[in-house]
Amino acid sequence: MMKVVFLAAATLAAQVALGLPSSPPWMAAVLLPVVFITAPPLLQSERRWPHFALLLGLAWDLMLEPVVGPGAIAWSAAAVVISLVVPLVADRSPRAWLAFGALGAALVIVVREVALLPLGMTGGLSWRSAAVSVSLTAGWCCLIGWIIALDLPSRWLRYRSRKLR
Amino acid sequence: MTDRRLLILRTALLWILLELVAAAQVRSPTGELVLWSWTRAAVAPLLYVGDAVGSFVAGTITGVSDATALVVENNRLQRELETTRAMNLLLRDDMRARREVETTIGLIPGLAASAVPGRTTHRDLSRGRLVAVVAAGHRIRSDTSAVATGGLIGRVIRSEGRRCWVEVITHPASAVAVQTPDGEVQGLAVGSDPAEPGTLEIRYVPRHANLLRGDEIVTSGADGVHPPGIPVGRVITVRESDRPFLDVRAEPAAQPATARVVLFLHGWAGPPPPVGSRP
Repeated sequence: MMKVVFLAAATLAAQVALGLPSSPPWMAAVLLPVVFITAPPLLQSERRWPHFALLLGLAWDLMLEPVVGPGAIAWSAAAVVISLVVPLVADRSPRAWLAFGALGAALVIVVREVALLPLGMTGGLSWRSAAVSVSLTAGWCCLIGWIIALDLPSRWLRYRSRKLR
Repeated sequence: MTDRRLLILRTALLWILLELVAAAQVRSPTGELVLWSWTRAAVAPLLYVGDAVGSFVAGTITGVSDATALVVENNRLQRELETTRAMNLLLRDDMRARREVETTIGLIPGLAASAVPGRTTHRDLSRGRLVAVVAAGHRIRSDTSAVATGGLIGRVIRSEGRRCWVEVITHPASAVAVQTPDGEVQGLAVGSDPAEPGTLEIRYVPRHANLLRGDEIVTSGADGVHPPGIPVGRVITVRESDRPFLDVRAEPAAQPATARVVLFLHGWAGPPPPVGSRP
């Protein structure tokens, strides 16, 4: 669990770093923490991850948003929806990571806007920026899924065993 | 409820809580907290309903109290109106009585000085009785003459406090010494018999008396009760009979049935003698 928390903190730090003025503008559109709401159902881990998504959203709000609350709603909502949809699909390939990453990113963006709507703080969302963000986030998730599918530790172990033989 | 539904429900509640937390951090363009404006918007219908109910209750209470006050005021005004009507009737009656008094006083010269007016409060003509009330402080003795509009109406037979019982001259037991105004014909006016109620029988009028129908008769003072000169009645029939006197009947000058006021001739000796007559 501590490993996940550490990874999440590192991801958020990286998210902040992606938005630095020196980095290209499109890099800030990648929603790195989406991988934390798509990975648990795809990897069939424990089911307490929506709460973790809530904490992740709060941390997102504290670090990146002017108001604490809508981000937590958006991230937890995306986690809940993905948890309901993932069991319907048998595919666990990088393609599935790509699709669910896109779905999670879209949900985070849309629900965040919906949550900001009653507060009178909407207006920053455009279809183009949303599409860019969804695409890049889906690619990011696909990359993670591909890396996981590679199963590098077992390959490394097999390589080492061959070399020692 | 399955775990999944429970999870979704809890998460939804958390979303609501988080939205409220976010609303507590954001201010509207007017500078007001969004959470406060939400609270106001949520409470406004309740306040409106409460205000409407309060207004309705207050209006109802005001209406009922106003209606009650109106009813009370109406009752008071009705009582005042009835009192005013009664006062009006009394005043009209008093005015008529006053006119009767003036008429009666003007009937007999010199009567105003000592006459005590009294209001008729009860009359029982079948028994020849009349009850009158005088002002406080007057003491009317028995056998005091009572005069009403037109002339003599009777004499006091009992006096108690302010009330005086008068025996009218039409009572069969009443007897008044009468004469013609010139004093040529004397007689005794007694109450009528039950066969002819309301009339006077003039007794002891000689056959040769010069008495005609329509002649006026006044008191002579010979009975020692009534002062002389008070109109008693007017002759309506003069008949001869087998007795040594004429059968004379007269109608009373005063009408006991309609008399509102009587004047008690308290200590009055009679009208002053005409100028030039010998004492």
